[in-house]
Amino acid sequence: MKLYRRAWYSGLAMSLFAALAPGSARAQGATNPSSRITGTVTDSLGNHPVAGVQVTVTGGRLGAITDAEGRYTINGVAPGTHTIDARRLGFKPLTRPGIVVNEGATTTLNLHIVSVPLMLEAVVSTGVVDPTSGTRVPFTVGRVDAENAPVPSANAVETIQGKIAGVTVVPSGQPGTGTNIVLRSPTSINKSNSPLIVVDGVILSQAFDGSTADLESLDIESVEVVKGAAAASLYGSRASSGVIQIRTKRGASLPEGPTHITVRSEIGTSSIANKKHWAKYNYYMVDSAATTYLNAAGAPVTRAARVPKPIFSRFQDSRYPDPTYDQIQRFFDPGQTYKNSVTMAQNGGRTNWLLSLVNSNQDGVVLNAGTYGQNDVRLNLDHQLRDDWRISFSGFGSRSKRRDLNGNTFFQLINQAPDVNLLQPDPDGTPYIFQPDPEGREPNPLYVLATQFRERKSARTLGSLASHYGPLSWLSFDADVSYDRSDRNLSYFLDQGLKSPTFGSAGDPGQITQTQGTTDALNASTSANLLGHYKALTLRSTLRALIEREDNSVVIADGTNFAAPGVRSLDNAQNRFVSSTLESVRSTGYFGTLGANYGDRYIFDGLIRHDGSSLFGPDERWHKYYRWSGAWRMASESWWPFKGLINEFKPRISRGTAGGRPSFADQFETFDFTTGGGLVKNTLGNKALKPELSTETEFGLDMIMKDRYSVQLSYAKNRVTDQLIQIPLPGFYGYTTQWQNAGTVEGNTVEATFQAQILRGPKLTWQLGLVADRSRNRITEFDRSCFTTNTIAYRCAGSTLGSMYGFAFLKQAAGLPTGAQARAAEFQTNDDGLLVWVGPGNTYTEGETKKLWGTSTTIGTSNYGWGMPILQQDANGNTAVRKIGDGTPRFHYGISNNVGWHDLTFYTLLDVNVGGNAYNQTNQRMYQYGRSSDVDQAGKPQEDKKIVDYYVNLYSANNPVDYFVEDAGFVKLREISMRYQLPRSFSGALSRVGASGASLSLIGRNVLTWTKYKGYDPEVGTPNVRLDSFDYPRYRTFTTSVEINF
Amino acid sequence: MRKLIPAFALLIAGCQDLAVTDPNAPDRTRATKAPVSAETFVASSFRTWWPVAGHGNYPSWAFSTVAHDVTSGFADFGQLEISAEPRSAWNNSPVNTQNSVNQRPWYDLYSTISTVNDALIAIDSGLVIGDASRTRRTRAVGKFMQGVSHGYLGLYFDSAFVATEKLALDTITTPQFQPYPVVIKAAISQLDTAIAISQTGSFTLPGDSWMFAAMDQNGFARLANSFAARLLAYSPRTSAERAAVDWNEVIRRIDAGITTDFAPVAQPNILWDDWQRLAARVRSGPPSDYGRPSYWLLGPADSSGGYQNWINTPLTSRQPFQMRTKDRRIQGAAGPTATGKYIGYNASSIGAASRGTYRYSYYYYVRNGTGTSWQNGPTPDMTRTEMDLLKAEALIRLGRASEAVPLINKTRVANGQLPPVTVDGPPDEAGCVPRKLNGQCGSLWDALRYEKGIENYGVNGVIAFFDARGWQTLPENSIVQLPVPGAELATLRRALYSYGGAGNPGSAPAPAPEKCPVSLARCQ
Repeated sequence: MKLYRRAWYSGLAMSLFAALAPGSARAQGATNPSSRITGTVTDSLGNHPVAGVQVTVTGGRLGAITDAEGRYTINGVAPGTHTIDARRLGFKPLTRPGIVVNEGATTTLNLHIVSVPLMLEAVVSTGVVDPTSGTRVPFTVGRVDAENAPVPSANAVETIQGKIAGVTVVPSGQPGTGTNIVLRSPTSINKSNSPLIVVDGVILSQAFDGSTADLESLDIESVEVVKGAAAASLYGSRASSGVIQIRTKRGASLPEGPTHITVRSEIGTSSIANKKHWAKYNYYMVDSAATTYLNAAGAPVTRAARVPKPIFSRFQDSRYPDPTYDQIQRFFDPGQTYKNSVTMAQNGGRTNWLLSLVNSNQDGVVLNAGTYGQNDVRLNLDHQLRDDWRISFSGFGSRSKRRDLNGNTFFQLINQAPDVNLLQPDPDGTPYIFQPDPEGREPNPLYVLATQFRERKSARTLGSLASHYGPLSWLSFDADVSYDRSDRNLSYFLDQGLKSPTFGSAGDPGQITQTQGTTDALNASTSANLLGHYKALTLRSTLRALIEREDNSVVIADGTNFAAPGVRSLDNAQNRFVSSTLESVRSTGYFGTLGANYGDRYIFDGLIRHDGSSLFGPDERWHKYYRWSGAWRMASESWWPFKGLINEFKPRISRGTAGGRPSFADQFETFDFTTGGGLVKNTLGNKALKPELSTETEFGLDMIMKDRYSVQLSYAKNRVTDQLIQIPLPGFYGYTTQWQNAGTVEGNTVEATFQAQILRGPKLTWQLGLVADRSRNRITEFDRSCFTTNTIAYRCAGSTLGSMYGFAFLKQAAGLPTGAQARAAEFQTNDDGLLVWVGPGNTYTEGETKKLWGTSTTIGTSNYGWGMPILQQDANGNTAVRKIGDGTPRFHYGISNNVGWHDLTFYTLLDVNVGGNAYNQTNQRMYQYGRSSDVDQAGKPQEDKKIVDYYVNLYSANNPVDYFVEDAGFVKLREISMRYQLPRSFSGALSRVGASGASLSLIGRNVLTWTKYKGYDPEVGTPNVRLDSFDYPRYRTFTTSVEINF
Repeated sequence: MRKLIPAFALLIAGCQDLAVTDPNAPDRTRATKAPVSAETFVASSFRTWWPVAGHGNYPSWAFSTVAHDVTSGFADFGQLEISAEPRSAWNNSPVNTQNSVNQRPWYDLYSTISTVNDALIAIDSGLVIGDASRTRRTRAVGKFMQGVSHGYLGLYFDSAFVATEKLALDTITTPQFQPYPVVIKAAISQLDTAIAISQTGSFTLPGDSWMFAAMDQNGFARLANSFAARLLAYSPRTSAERAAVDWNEVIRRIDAGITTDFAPVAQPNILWDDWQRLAARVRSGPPSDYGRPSYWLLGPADSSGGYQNWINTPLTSRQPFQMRTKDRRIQGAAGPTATGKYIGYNASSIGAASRGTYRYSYYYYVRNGTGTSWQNGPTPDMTRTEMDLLKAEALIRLGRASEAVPLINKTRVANGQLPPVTVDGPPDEAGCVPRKLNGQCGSLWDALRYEKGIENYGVNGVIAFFDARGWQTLPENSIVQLPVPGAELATLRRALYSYGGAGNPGSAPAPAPEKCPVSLARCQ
């Protein structure tokens, strides 16, 4: 039956185009090698020659690329009348019909092409089956070209940050750890919201963490983004969260001729941008000059014998008698960052190639830790085997190494007292002392980092081979195969005898872990492309079949209790444990598209895809996805009244579906092997699982004014049904949960993209880009009990995926339990805005004068301490769980400016998040032991001072509580660069060594952040769960780069 | 040829087999079909039972702090709210961040039962595991694990569902929860079945797996009897229910029970005692440790008058104090700050005053040292001392107090270096241990309670709670049992309920610690 269906699709398309094809093939005929077209391509603006323009004879196989002087020659053109196309990235495609070529003659055709400052006009290839100008695409495709991204990002994916509307990027701070991205509103409650990433046709595996970390940003030619199902249906069951397609540079964009070599070196420093506010005072008894500690009797004592003030007079307002340190300053250490690259490329006519080598290193900002080094090699090769047959190869290899931090590093840091010296050596010879504080609760993180070896080595190999065969003007075939291989090797070693957080100064018995993970992902597809013209109607169709094979394996070996110190072998461990995992995913897909363009005004696009995947049980293995979309280019109508003012006016609509897939194990009834070979039930498999089905409808309007201003407005409404949700099972089943399709998430996004070439004179240019977006989401169906997850997140019908839930402190007496209402007069709102019990006739400022701190009263079952904040209760008398914040920003903006003046280019990118909360758990933990400067009382009037236990009360035993929900809105100068192209007069010396040009750049990343947020940086957590929990903070870098071209 | 390439790819796509199996874990059919894996189901079931039976953090920290056994200023493991005074209702909401207190034991015990049942179903269907002896061992241990798992469900929860291998679970949509006495009865029946199976032939259990304590079929039967004694004695929720226990049956079970400590040998990452690890944790510098022995536990040994002063001070004004005692388990011979055999002295207080200074204690637990026995040494679950003292209680309740005296004196004299008690209690002299709340020397009943408290401290995280509810020593309005978890109620679409707090059902009455179950000297 399935074979019959495929034959049906194919037969229909063939029949349709067979009727249309003959008219398209008329240009084919005998050729005379002496007939040619030649000429020069220049920029219409400055009349400069333009190199790298692809000039082709439409409908045929002939073409050429302009050289450095803009010249081209196409030999062997058949006599007759032809249409000539000229295309180059960054310029408007140009079509010149009616070019007459005579037998044995040379026709001269000089062309003027118009630069495209407006990305809306750029040719895009994502979400469509063949490259199409953005003005002819009926849905939104965001695009960033290399020239619009003068500041290379940490990895290729982050290039789109702030430059494409509807994109939320939250990079992790630690170098080499990848990026969190959500396009528009999140689509999944439990599964990944990360988009599918495709690099030169290689669909990257999403099976392991950090899949984006390895992608080299210097290689990028362009990044395209389709954000939802309305555009991404082409990618089927993996595309509900959108698709990011990265294309890397190739020799094809160079003029034919010699090898071009570019050497680039960038070097600079990284440093923490914002500090945590650290407490500077203590609550111990000291003399009046704060030069010595005192005991209870008032006698001077050592620090070890110091005593705290009486509990209810314990104001943190005494200076430390001993020297104090800025622990942040000492822990965070500006690190070096550098990146060196060599790129060689040549366009030899029928063959072009590009080879790039990149070596980079980032020290991060933590003293002696977190260094990340990466070496990359890329080889892109295109070869025209015959006039009708082209093959392309893209290969990328990456090796990286990262020194990791342990998960408690920043927690250990915030528990250090200000008067301890973290940098003093330990008696065991380690350069940093294990426990600098006799009363310390956590070890010195620098000792832990110096003694615990954690290293992650990765290797990534991407390769794709594509073949295009076009035997007829109306028929071509494509076949491609791509491969993604990832190797991860994690090593952990803690030698026997070293102090450790678990075993303290007694010495650890020794620990070793080796983890080896590999992923092999292979994708292959083949397609038939058909093109037909019938008067003003152009039809395009593609029929494609795809397969996907992915295999993952992980082996983990642990060992403890060493037989001998210093031996980094598992054999040394007297207790050894191993575990392993194997996963295989097999998928198959077929799709057919039909695109129609009538008169270049009415555009229709339709697609249907049939996907099968081994991730589903036999009855749910195959699913269909579709898309239909249309656009009307009204400005191309003869009656358009605003010609000359509005060049493009294109309302459009698109509706499509895409899928989200379960994890490998979700369909299987699983048992967990416990360490030592035990078996325990885990998840009850579900063979009836279906994909999460995302249905998106997008309305939009694209507009271009005076060829220099573009506006793109979109409204996308998304509904994702069949959410994959882990449903708890009754206890007696033994299995804890089962994955089921049991929910719906709805979302919507409003986006605007504005681009303007404000100035475009020969010596001064100024391009302005503005993106703005606003996304909302809500769980509308949820067929299970509500639950909390990830500390602050809450999943329930009616809640949003960005919402934070937890406890809330009372602000007004009206919130008191019913039983306490009669005594509401005994409560007051203090200067922190929190309701506290003060007792009859007292005020919250009289704690010390009337010695009220420490007194309490009991009303019902609640005990109210004097002056202490009160958590809201529910009707049962339990602490109420309620919504306390939402991480989704109200609006997001990105503003970029690119100004060129003579040989100087100046670029800035400003990123703005308006609203949106982050949960500052780091600061919350700093309240526990008075490490936050908020706990310091020095300088306050006595009546406003609070005892340390007031802050411990706010700490709320680390439960999520509204007090630590902060406004995480920010304005960030994310990227800044100034590039100076050396004039020829300065590059004379370079020319003697063969260089043709050179430039110098000053680059800054995450330069300045304006925010009310109290943490290191407001960009914390993930796009949905904005939890600041001792994470590696984002930091700023300043670098200089030199680029020399040969 | 080139034209064949796309066709070839299409063919590949069409032929790719999308049926993939899971190579990582067996499904139920595969796991129970093979004798070895069916045996593994049973052999590894002890590991899922162990943490929630007083050796992991749930519900040990909640129960031991509610019982005034341990005191702590920390909030981990659900201990802070449930042990705050005055006591309030347990928050049984599924979104309570501390819901592991009742979720972990509920789901882990059922996981143990369910896994064992799968193997028992296979054996009942004719599966032979190696030979008759191995099959017998698997059946016996399977029924034992079924028994102790149901037993702990009965000890913890007000009601539970009895799930045996005879039930077809897939057909049950509305499980009938039984009240805990029914669950306990079923559990004891399962233990008796285990005993009966074990006596039909010989087998051995290895020391490094199964229950991590080597034993033969007779040792296994003794262990099952001791667990039955526990279930009988510890399941009552009130002093009246405890009085109504068949204490003769308890004695019978104890006499047929263990003769040495049941102390599984811990192995890192396989079976260890996180409760013991934290109870014994001493950090690198003072203030040390995590949870501390409470004054309610140690105070009766104090002869300074400090305890009486402390207990008569309003709760929120209580401050820690230094005791003086002759009990060498608490205080060394060198003086009040000298470390005793089980308990050390450290005047640093940890924890926030806002969480209640009544939680402060100057004493910490040193019985297990600061070594690594919790991860690679014997970790007692059930000591011979516990059984002796349980038998002593039975004897007192049966009017045979004189027979209880030597059982109480065993550890009192050997470990505490205290003068032996008589049926009248400790010698009426200065420094007598234990004392009553009014400072007078305690009764034999007081001595029994004190002895069991000090000897069981840090051994097992839940026994003190069972004793406290039966002895009526819980603070008023404490929970006396756990409700079925809110998450389970939500899954089954049943109404949420809970226990504890003033005026709620299932709340402890005002304590009457010195009220003896029978007439004894110095008793109320």
